[in-house]
Amino acid sequence: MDSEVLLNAIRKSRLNADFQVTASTKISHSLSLERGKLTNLNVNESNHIYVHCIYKKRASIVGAPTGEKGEVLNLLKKAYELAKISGSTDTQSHFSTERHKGSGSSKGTNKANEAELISKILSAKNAVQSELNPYSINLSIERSNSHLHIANSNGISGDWEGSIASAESEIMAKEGSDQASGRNEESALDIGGLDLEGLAIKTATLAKNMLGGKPAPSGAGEILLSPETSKLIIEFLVSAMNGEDILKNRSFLAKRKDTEISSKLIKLYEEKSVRLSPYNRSFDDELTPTSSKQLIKDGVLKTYLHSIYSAEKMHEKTTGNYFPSSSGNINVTNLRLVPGKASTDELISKIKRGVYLIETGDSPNMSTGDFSAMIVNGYYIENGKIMHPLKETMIGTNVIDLLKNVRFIGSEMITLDGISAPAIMSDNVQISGK
Amino acid sequence: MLDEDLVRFFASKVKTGFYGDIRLIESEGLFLAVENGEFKNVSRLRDCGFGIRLMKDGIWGSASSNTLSKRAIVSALGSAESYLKAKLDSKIRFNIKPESNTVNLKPTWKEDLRKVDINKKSELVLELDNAARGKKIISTMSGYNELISQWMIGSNMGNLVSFYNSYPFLYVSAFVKDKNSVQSISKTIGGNCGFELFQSDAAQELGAGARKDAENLIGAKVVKGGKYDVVLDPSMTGVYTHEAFGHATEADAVLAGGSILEHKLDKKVGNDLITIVDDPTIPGAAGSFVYDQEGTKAVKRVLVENGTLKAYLNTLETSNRLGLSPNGAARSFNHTFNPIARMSNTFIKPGDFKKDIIEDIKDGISFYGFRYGYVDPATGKFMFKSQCGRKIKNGKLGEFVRDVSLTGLTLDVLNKIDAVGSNFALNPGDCGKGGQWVPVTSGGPTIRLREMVVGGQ
Repeated sequence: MDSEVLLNAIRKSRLNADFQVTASTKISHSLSLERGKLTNLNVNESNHIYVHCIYKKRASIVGAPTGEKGEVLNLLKKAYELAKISGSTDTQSHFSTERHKGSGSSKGTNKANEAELISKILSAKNAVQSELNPYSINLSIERSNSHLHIANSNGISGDWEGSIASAESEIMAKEGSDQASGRNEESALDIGGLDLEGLAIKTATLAKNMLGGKPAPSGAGEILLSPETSKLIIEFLVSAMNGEDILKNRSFLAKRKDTEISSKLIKLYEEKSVRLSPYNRSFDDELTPTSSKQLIKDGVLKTYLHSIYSAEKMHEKTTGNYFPSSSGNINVTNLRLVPGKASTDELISKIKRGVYLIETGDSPNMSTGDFSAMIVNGYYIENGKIMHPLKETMIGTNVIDLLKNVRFIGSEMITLDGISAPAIMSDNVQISGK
Repeated sequence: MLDEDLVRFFASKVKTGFYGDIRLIESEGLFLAVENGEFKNVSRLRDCGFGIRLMKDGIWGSASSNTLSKRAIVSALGSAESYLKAKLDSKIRFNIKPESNTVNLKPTWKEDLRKVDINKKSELVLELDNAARGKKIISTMSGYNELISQWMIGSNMGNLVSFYNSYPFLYVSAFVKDKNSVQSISKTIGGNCGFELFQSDAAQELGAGARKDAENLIGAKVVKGGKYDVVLDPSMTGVYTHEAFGHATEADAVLAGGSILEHKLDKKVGNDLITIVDDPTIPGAAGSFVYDQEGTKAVKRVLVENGTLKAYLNTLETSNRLGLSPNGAARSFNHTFNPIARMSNTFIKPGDFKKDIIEDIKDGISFYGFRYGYVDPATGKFMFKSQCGRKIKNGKLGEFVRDVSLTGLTLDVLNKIDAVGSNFALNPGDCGKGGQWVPVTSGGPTIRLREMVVGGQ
C-alpha cells in the first residue's frame, strides 16, 4: 500500500465530506536479558488504518487493522456515518492544503538481524559483568521498521519510511541490605549506532555509586541537572508549547510568547533533519510540512507548536508539529539545546551547596510550571565536592525560576528520542530531606 | 467471533520438545471526549490479532500479528522459531504447565455496551461535564470510554479458554484558577461490566464532586517541604499499596533482582496492622477477571497477612522457577505483548481504628485523591502526588494546600503506619508496566503515617 492507493480510495468514495486517511505498518524485533540470562526474543508486526472525517464541521475518527478487501472504502463510510450521527464539533475546519518536499525518510541500512541483536546484548552483559559484576543486569534491545502513508481529500499525500534501534539497561547493585539501581536508554537509526556496552557500564557504575544513600539537609540550594534530567525539562517545555493547551489556558506558557522565560543562556532549536537521526520528517501526521525553527532565542519564547486545529483557532500559522502519541498530540522532529563549555566536573566544583539530579520520574505541572521531584538517583554536593548519594530527598521549584536562574550550561551532551541535551546548572531550589 | 480452529491449528504446528501458546483477541472501542460542553473527539477503533510464544531450553521466542489467519500463524511460528534455532542456552530452566481448562465463558454483563445507543452515551458524558461546570470553574474535560474484547487462549498442552472483558469508563476534570496557579480535580468511575455501571445519578455525582473539590483549591498555597505526620485517604492508600508495594510483589521483578521483596516470603515486612490483598475475583471491578491471559483461573491473593509477606503475583513461568503455585496473575494489554505478572484489585484491608484519625497529629498533612506517582521497585523509593491536601494543626483540619507530594521507602513506610481506619473504597485506573496498560483498581481505608517526607516548595 502507498498514499496513491489511499488517494484513489478517497476519490472513489464520492462521499460529501473531507477525509484524511493514514495507513501505518510496523515490524519490530526485540530481545531481552534478565538477570544476565537471555529470556525473550520477540517479533511484532502491526498494520492499521485510521480515517479522520469532517462533515459539516463535525468530525470523527475510525480505525481498524488492515488486511480486509475494500477496507479503506468501508472505513471511509463508517467515519462518514459516525461524523453525521454524533461527530465532534470542537474541531478543525479542514485538512492540510500545503505541499511538502520529499519525505524526510530516515531509514537504517540493514534489516533486523537476529545474530546482531544477540551478539550486541551478550557482549554488553559480558563487559559489565567482568568490569563491575553487579547484583543484577537487565538489558533489552529493539529494532523496528515503520512505514507511514497519508492522503487527504485535498489531494495532498505523503509516504515515509523509518527505522529506529533502541536499548535500555536496568542494573542493580547490592551490599548487605543496601540496594541501589540505575537505568539508562539510548536510541539510534540502526543497531550499529547503539553502544549498549557503554550504556550498561555507565548504568552499572551509577548503581554502584548510589549505594549508601542518605537524605540531604533541607533548605535552599543549587541544582545541577544531568543531561538526562535536562532532557526531561526540555521535553516538558515542548509539551507546554502545545498550541491547544495554550489556547485553552492549560499551559503555564500561555501569554508568554515573545517574553523572557529563561536565562539568555538557553537557546533551543527544532531541526527537521539531522544526520543519522531516526526522527527526521518533512511532514507531520496531518501532512503539514515540518520546519526547522528556534523555539527559545536568548531566553525568549519565540513560537508555540501547532496542529491545524490550534493554528486555526489561534489565527496563527501551522508549524508542522502534529505527532500524536500516548503523551500528547504535539511533538517535534529533532531538538537541540545549545551546549556550553563547562564539563560536569567543572560544574560540580562551582556548587557551594546543592544537589546533582541524575534521575527522577517526575515532570513539572503543566498548568503552573511547579516542579516537585523525588531524586531517584543523585548526589548531595557541598563546597564543590560530592558528599554522598541521595535517598528520601525531594526538590521543589518552578520551571520558569529554574530556567531564569540558569548559571551554566554543560558541554557534555546526550541525544535521546531526537533530543540533544547538555547538563544545566541553576540555583535557588528547595531541597527537602532530613 | 474468534475461531477455535486457529488455536487448534497453532497447537498442531508446534514442534515436539517446544511449549507453545497462543492468544487471539478481537476488540472494539468507543471514545467520546468533551471539553467545556462541546465534543472534542468521537472515535471508534477496532482491532484484532494474535500473539504466540514458543519456549525451549528456558528461552521464549514470541511473535504477533494483527492478521487472524493460518498463514499469518505459520509466518509467526517461523519468526519465533528463527531465534530459538540459534540454540542459545539461557541457563534458566523451567517448565510450563498450564491448567487443563477447556472453558468458554459467556459475557456476564447485564447491559451490553455495544447495544446501548451512542446518543445515550453522548448524553451521559454531556450530563457529567455539565455537572462539573460552575461560576468558579474555568474549564472542564470529560469523557466516556468503552473497550470490549474477546480473548481466546490455548496451547499445545490442550487447554483452551475464551472469555470477554468489557470496560466502561467515565472521567471528568474540573479546572480552577487563582493568581498563583491553575489547579484541577479529576474523578473516575469504571469497571469490568456493562452499561449498568452508570445507573442512577452517577454522572451527576461525579461531575458535582469534581466541581466542589476543585473550588476548594482556589487560593490554596504550596506546603513547605519537610517531615510531617500524614493521613492518606483511600485513594492515596490505594496508590501506595499498588505502586510502592504491589509492584514489588510481581514475581518477574523478584526473579530479575529488581524487588525489595526478594527472599522475604514468610518474613515480616510491616507491622501487624497491615494486611494487603490482591483480588481479581471482586464482581464487576475494573481489575477483575476470571482467567488470566495464560488461561489460569484467577484467585484471591493475600500478599501480606498481619505484616508478613505471604505471596508473590505469579505467571506460569515465575511460579515454576520459584517453586510456587500459579495464582492467575499473568496479564497482557493485547496480542502484541506477552503476559507478565500484574496486579488486579489491590488494597489494604480495613482495620478497626474507630477514633478520629487526625486527633493526635500536631503538625501534619492530609492527602486526598491521586494525581500521579512512581516507584523504583528495586530500592523501594517512591513519590506520589495527590490532587490536593489539607494542613492538620493540633488535631484539626486546616487550609487546603496544592501540589503536595509524598516520598519514602516502601518498607520503611509499612512500619510507619500506626492507624488503619475501618472505612474502605476502591478506585479504578490503568496500570502501566513494560509498555503494557491494564485496568486495575486500588484502595483501602484511611491510614495514618508518622514522620514522612513531604515535598513542596
